[in-house]
Amino acid sequence: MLDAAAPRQAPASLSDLSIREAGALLRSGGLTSAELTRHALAMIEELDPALHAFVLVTDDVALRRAARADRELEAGVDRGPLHGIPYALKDIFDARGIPTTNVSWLTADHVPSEDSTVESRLRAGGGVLLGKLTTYEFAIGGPSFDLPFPPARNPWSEDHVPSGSSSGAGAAVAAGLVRVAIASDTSGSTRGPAFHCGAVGLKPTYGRVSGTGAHPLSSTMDHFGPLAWTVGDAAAALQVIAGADPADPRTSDVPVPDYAAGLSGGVDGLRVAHSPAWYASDAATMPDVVAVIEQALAVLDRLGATVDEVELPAYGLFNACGRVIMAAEAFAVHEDDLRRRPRSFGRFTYQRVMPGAGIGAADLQRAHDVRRQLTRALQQRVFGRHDVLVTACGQTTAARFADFPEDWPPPRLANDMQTIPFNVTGHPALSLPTGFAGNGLPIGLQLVGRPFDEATLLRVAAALETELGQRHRRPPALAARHDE
Amino acid sequence: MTSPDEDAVEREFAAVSRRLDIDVPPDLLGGVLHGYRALREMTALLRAGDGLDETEPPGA
Repeated sequence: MLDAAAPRQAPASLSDLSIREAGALLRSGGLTSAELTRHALAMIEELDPALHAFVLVTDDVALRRAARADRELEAGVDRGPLHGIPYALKDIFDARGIPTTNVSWLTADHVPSEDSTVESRLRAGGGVLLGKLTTYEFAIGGPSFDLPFPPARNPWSEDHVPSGSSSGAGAAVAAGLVRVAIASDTSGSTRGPAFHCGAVGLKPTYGRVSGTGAHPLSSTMDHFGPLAWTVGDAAAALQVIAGADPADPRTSDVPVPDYAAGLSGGVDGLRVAHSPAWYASDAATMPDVVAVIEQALAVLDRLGATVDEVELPAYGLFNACGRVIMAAEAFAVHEDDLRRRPRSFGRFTYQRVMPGAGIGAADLQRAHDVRRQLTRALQQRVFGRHDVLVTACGQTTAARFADFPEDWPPPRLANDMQTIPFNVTGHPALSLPTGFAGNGLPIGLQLVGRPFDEATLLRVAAALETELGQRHRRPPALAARHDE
Repeated sequence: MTSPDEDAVEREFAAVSRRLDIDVPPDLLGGVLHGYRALREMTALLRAGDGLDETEPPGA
């Protein structure tokens, strides 16, 4: 099948083509979007029955868009970096005429009549929608078996969760079913699955990407961005979806730079901060995670960056601030259904959202006051003198499904993550895979940048990706398929 | 067995639920209360604000 369709200059596996490489082949005539799309659909058909990453595969839509992309390129119409490139959406983003289930019985039959802004931009950018990816219910919940779709499996081990809530995005990208997915991140829902599956997860600055047409979880904490196989793939996707949206007053009109152009700029002269007090002495942090951060800092130093240790406000304050705000806002979103249709929620979701009912106005106001102080402290102590903060993302490798008993709560909420501080402050943050822990599961680190300076964040991530490149292998069970 | 403080937290949450006219299914109440207790600990932490320099000038 693939052999018959394989173009003259195509590599052994189309899944291994970066978005930039695939785009060059599409433009040179060495590959068609239809071929790329058929390859992706074949991969999904073969591998997804075990992964459960997709809740819906939009074959017809994908092949139609691919054919159009090919016709346009032949006619000299070039819509940008995602022209003819397959992508997928976390199933909280609307695409007109295609169900948005939020993986909930409450919205299982919802078919939107309008695109989300993200989908509108991807469509206008010539992207090829492969389908919708599973998520924890309403982007919260957990790896539940009482929802309309089964939870995704971690492609590195079926006994482990991909993390959440963008579980399908993490699994699909790591397994090579798609190069880039668009996900959401309210406390780490893009960066967590990226960390635990071995992919790149980018939470842009608050307001950089529109949330119009994405089901809200917590309106002041929600962020939207790419989960991709490489830093370059993430940059390409951000290029298309970033920018002001009149329909979303949270968005900013700060200009969107050319992200790809800056990727190879290196780190010479940059100032890098780190604050090991957050993670290094925390018993929950695996030594492998600490080691890889130290390795990355050494690489940055060798490449010409200046590395300084800084003192941050206690992690617990960031965590408490984010959890309280998210709980209150998530309850507000779901209050009516919690009252009228409690049994329509999955057990995990109900037990995570309902406690927010008890957050009073005074406590919410205090959380917002603390939020402003923490944001200011981060600006002063880190970004007043530094370009990037290097810190932990996940503290451990992926959890097992067995860690999530039916009777909530489990011993720990999920994997311990240190992602929520930057949902509190709105700074851009990127989860970069760096390799594998001793148990064979992926690990990585987190890079944080100045507001709206995703370009520097991506530049540093690209440099580290090159230097710490051992992660560029696929999950063992899938490697043989990729080599065909 | 719950401690007196835990009993107070449970009564507090029950009052909130009644005010909001929300009946929490009995089999889910344990998990909800666990989450609520964790949130109460967090709101207490925020009110204490230990480690925050609330005198830092804005915009510095």
